[in-house]
Amino acid sequence: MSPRPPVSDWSTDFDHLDPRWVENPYPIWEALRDECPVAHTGRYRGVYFPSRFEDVRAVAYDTEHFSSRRIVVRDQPPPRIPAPPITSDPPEHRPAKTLLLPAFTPDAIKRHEPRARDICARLIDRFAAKGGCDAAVDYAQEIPVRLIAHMLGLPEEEGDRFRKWIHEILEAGITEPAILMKAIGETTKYFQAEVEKRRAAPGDDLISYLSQQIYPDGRQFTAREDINAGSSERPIAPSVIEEKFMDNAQRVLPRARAEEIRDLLLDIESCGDVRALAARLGAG
Amino acid sequence: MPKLKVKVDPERCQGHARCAALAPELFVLDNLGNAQEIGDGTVPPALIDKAWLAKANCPELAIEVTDT
Repeated sequence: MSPRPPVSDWSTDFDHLDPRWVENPYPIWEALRDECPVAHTGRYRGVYFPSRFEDVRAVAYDTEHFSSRRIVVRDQPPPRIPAPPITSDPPEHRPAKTLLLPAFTPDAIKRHEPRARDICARLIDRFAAKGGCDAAVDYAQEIPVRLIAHMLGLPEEEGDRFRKWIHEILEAGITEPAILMKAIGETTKYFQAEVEKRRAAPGDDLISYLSQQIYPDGRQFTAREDINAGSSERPIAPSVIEEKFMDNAQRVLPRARAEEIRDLLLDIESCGDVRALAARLGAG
Repeated sequence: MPKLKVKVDPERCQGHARCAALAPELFVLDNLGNAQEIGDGTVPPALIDKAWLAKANCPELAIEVTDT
């Protein structure tokens, strides 16, 4: 990984990994709000940065023009395996999120409170005698991963593994594709094995619950099988290609335009050559 | 004194449950965690601040406060 050139102009060339931005972004954002409320950079495949509340809010609610599929700003394209509902856009977002809601209602969360308190107390016990600790590393970072491991039906200590993956996927992986791909491979393999175990012998945990869920259209919750089906050994059936095209096209195009392009592609034989195809695509 | 009513748009609600946490007197969650106004949504005078607080905290802009 070659070092990135330093930023000379935050409005046209910002870099969220520049040490000045990492250390203290607030003065930079303050200046941008006055000088260039929607900054742009050519780095990381091209990124826009709205810095005013009204603009951030407008972008967040305009799901027709702005997608959630790319949630981390990095050099690589977004991973092909989605992370619903975080990377889902409407209309897929609601069914994906609805599946998760019952496990996160206030009542359901309240049932985990004794365990959460117990985790906190045990963490404090570990450093109480020392008289001090790194509050982030030794305490705050431990709590969610340990409780989530418990909710998933995994040993609490697996939280350490999750912290490593979080670091590799969301931090180190921003600039190191090899670390990113390795961590994605590890998480996929790990959770696929856990899902299979629980499909065979369901327990009273979140992985068991999710493994048994069915989307309104009849698909099972884990979509990895049909995503992985798109390999040269197992080509995707023609009927699925059309559906996948629409799914993907609608992430970047209005529905009507996506349908227009789909129809044209289905009728591609009516175009004499590439130039004729391009002309008809452009006419839409 | 104006009479206020709250209403949750079920199409917009995504179950963040902020309203039920902030104003449990006005909102209830269904078994999926989606919110609904209690009764016809009428806001007693003592709960007017809570009604506006719930509206302001809804991440999906799903809560309407109307003056009847």
